[in-house]
Amino acid sequence: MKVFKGLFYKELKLTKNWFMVGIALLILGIIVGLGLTKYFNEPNIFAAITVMILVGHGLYLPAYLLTSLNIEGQTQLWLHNPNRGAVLFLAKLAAGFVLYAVSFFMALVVALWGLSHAVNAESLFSLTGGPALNITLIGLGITLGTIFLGVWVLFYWSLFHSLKKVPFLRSIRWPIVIGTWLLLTAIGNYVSNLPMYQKLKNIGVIKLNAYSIEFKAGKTSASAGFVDNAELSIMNGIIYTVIIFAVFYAAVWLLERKVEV
Amino acid sequence: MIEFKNISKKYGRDSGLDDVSFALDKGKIYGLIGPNGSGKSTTLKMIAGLVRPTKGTVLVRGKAVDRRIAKDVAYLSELDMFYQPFTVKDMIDFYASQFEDFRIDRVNELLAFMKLDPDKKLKQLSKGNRGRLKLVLALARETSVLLLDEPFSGLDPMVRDSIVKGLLSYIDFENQTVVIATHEIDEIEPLLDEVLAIKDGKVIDRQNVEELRETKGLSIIQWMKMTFKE
Repeated sequence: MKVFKGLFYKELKLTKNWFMVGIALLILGIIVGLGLTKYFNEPNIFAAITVMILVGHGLYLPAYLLTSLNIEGQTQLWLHNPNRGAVLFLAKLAAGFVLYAVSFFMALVVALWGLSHAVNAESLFSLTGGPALNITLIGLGITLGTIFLGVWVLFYWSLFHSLKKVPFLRSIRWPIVIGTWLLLTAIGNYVSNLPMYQKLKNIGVIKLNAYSIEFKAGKTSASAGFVDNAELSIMNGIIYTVIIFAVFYAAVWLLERKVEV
Repeated sequence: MIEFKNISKKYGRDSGLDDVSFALDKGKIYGLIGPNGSGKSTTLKMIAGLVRPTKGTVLVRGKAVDRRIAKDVAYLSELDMFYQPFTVKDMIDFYASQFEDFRIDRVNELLAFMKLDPDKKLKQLSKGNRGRLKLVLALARETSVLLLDEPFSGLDPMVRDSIVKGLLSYIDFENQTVVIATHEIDEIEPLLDEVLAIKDGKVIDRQNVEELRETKGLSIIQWMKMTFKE
């Protein structure tokens, strides 16, 4: 625990300024939203901006990890450490997640305030199925999404730095990383379209019809987020959990065996 | 204590090390001497498990080396890089949390010895004081192997002197194997038991410093000039 704590606090100290810049951008977004709302006399602009900020938090952990890893990547001397690579990475994920949680909570409060005012104005946003449930589910989705993307960042960063010491690959590291991403995406798409995967996905399905966000503007309306007939597949969740563990340990393997100082 | 068995390290067509074999004993201080790009830093990084050989095996205390050999090996890097927002104390706390053998009582002594202020931010330290701090962090550990990569690089004579005094006071001469890669031979000559000359990724000569002095009447610098001239 002492090791993890040490790494965790190191991360927080190292990225304190980054976090403050993030909060400053959040406040700037709010100010711009309020300004535009006032300028156009349209209260829903603010709500739309706050929802965008909230959804934008899906990229928070990947951005945090890239910043932190790039600081380490300048020398890679953080690898002079007797502790497991998994612990080194987990401390980064944990610190990033704590900062994400603080920033996300602030964005959530602002978004709820913005949405409630928009609802009161009876125009753009209205929540069906209860705002608390919707927001909880959306928050959970964004949180899981940012962790998922964050772990992939660990993998691609490790891959990128593994190639650094191979001179004939050094200059084409970016194409290799992009190529790997394309290849893995294509494989993912292929597998997800297989009938067997579709069958697996249908195991343990929970219907989410009651929880949806409906966007209304005049006579036209559209649903988004957990839309009508939306489903949550437990098996899908298990598959993604397995994937994320596999990707994490692939990143650790690369860090332990291929990344050099 | 440390063994290199037919080690090669390739960087594409270039060789970092080329079929190098040697053994270093416990309780001795070795100087690794050679021109820039000769393979000195690669050798140290390999002992520290931070670079992997393309061919061959590196053993430390009979164990094949990987990154986690950091448990037995203290490594002072040639690189002048620290976590900028940290204070000296933050850096010490971080090291204390990561290395079981990190001795806080020794750190306090070393900080006083090196005249370093624990509350000073690293970005406010002079290059000399950053060099001193690197040495504090390395010497505060009780490891069987201590690796120092260019500990005097770019430092003024006063700092060099304090570093040599630090080494003299805090190295465990009985139990530690110390390897120092450097160009500045003058300062460390009295410390060294043996010297290894490295050129183009090969160990081209190895001498016992005492024998060199007594039988050949040569200082390390004289021997070095002769060795690298040939």
